[in-house]
Amino acid sequence: MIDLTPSARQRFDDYFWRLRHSLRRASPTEADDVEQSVREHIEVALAGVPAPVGGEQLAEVLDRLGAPDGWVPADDRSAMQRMVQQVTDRLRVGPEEWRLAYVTFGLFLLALLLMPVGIGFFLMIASFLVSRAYLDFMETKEEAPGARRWLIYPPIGFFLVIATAFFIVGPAGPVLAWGIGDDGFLRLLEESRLRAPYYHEQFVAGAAVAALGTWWLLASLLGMVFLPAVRYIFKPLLTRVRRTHFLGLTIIGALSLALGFVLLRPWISQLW
Amino acid sequence: MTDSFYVNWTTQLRKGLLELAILNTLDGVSLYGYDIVRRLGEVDGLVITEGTVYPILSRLKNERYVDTYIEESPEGPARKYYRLTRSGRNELERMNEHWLRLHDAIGTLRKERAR
Repeated sequence: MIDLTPSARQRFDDYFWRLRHSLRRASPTEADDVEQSVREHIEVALAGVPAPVGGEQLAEVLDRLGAPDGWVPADDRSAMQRMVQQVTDRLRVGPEEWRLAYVTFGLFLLALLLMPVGIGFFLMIASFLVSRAYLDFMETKEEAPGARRWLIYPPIGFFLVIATAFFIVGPAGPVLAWGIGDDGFLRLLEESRLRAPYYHEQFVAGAAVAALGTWWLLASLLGMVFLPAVRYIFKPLLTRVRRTHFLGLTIIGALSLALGFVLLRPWISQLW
Repeated sequence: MTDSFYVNWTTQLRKGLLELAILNTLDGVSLYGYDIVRRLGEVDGLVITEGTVYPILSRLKNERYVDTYIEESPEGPARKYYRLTRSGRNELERMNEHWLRLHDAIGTLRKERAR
């Protein structure tokens, strides 16, 4: 990154605006490539100039580069031909960041199609890993994904939905699945000596809410202890999550547990 | 022949020859963008605006006549080096042959006129 005076920065930004405008009919791959090369050219040309580089010194370099308007010959291909060319260009020889984005999305689509066969599950994991690798790659380059987020975020979103569901339900899920079944809580209740003049459904609801509340208390504790791991797994959704956020889950967990105990009170009271 | 006609003709000629000049510059060596521009600039009358070179380099890359790699530089930012691919070398050979044929053809016409 070149250190420029404010006026030089303005000139620099104007120049690149014109450059992008003049390359609007070229393929995005070509436009990105040219822009990157011109940036490098300017950086190399100004490498020996003391920072911050002033407007005049920058102007010399830009004048030698010339006005970008005449660089690219007019493109007389149809819109469809240009679109096909753009996609094939990006897959074939596009910059690494675009290729990774397309590979990610391609894997994701293939994973969805092949999910009933079983191999789709592994492809989904692969697409998630590639998308995360892409995000890390862009992070090291200090670049935002920009329009590429539409290609990168679907597998991450898919994974996050599953991970969030697991985090919310956790081990309470299998317990609840068993508990609300015929051989679950009610069978347990019948086999016990506990009796109460209430609906059995209240017992099931109380046990379910108490189980979830217990998990949420535990999950919030785990979240606070392993905060960096949570941030990493749920990136980029929870990159800014703090311990105080987990306190909210602690309160919800405590309230649920308390509600569970209230619902179960007729039976619990018989234990003493 | 008016000045504007001459200027227009030389501009078109330069544009047409720039691909050939760039491929020849990269024959046997790997160079980064700025260096290619500098070398082309040393040839009188070949490059008017330096920026013209970059879209051509990008197009040559898309055609797979050149490929690129990044190398760190002790003197500044990392640089993108360009080098000829095998198909680039083959294409350059064909283009050079064609250029020589054109050059000879013009020379022949001039000799006939001189006789």
